Amino acid sequence: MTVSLGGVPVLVDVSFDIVDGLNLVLGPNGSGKTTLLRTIAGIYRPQRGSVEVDGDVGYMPAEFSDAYMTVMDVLLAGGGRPPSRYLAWLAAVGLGGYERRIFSELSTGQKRLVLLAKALAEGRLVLLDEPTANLDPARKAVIMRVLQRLKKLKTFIVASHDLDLVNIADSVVLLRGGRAVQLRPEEVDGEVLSETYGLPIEVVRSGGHKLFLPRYDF
Amino acid sequence: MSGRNLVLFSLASLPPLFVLFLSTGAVFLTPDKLFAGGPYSVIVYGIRLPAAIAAALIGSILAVSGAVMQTLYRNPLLDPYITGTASGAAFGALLAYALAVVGLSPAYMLLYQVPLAFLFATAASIATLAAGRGRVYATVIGGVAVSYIFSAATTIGLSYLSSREPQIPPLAFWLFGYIDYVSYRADALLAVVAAGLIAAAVKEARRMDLVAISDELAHVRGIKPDRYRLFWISAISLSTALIVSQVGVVGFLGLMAPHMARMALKNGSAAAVVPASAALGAPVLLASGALARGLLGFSVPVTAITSIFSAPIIILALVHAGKRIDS
Repeated sequence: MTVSLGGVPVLVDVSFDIVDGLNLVLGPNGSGKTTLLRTIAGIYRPQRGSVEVDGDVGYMPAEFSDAYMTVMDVLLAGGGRPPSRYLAWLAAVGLGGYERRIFSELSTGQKRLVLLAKALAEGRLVLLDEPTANLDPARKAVIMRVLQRLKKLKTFIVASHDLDLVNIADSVVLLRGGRAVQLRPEEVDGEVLSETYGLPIEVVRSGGHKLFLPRYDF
Repeated sequence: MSGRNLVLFSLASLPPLFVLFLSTGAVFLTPDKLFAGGPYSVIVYGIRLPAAIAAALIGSILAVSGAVMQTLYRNPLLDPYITGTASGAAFGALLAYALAVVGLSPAYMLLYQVPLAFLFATAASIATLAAGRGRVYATVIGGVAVSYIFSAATTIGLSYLSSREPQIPPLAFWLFGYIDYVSYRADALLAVVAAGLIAAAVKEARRMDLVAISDELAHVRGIKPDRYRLFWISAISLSTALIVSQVGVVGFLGLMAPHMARMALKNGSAAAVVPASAALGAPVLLASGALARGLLGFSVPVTAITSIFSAPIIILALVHAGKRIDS
């Protein structure tokens, strides 16, 4: 598909298969990751091509307001769906019993988990924009564990700058200059990442995980 | 407090507040005279009861309007007075008298007064919200500036017109409102608007909450946030236009009632605050109206009373925000 915003092409003939599990979208700032998610979610319409998605889409935005309302109100926002389904997913992300807490008083990581629960309840395909940004390592680990566990139940498309997510991905889409390359996670190596970001990135294996080490020249 | 208890509490407070409102005015009527009939019944049923009904309805409409604006623009300081909506409406409503002066029949004034007020109310709201660009305090300052412009234009226009049409309401009416003379016909119109606005806002509350959380999330659920906001601003401007053409500018109800609701319910979602504000608006404006109409021993415009109670809310919000920035 091709998507232009304000007459400027952002995504050009981007095409990839959504696999079961976790689909990770990587790419530099401005490469169109969020645009891709929004197009899949139906917010933008492609000028050429189409998006084929089975069933409802759940969405977790990168930015959201610090709403002074209960977690239950956040989950039910938009209306028309039964509370029981939301509560089940709230428990599934590890926040069982949080429904009466005030959303704006939660930590950043907990707020993300609430919105993740909402997205999970609302769609079979779940789109996450930067789910691990601005989190300390422990909080990030919580989100990664939740995703690792739930990707057996739902299909995720995750747009992120966080290379660590390659470790839990089942497919990786690299966006560069509006074009996409789809790889299997094991094909993501230093060479292809260095080329994507225009910066040497070394990939080291440690304890079954890949560690990503960008070489900053300063 | 639960939302249901708050609504029940508000409803229970209505009868005594109605009695209080009916007692006050140019002549204070003690309860025994109030229901004695005879010469007093003209004052009570001909003048005061329709005004009291108007106060209750206007209170609810403005309170819900404030709650909706605050949710959709993520700004707890908005209401149709702060955003200049009411001042714009006042200018438009006054313009209708100018048209009457140049020859349009005053008999049809309702027909062109509310549309004119609506036009300027909408223009004023959009100017304020555009100037504020989503920033909490910038929007408030924009609203103050827009209000100044329309209040000045109203003052200038009235100075010119009142020498030609002595029956035009005085400046205090256009700037601060008097809920003293309202017809039963206007009550009927206000009732229709109140019922429509409250029902729509309660039904849409969950969708408003989604817009409050994230424009993107709203989009995914098929709500175009900008169009949605514009729709509600238009509906609120229309309601405000009707109110201002009947009783002048009534300020701060949309600030007071939702804040009381949030504090009582310890929850700021539209799903909780919209119905609670609708319930609280009526008793709050009845009480303010009774105070304004002579509980002090003399009559003052109603916004003079609501300002005294509401301006501290804004000051508290500023102090609170200041603390957060300091620490």
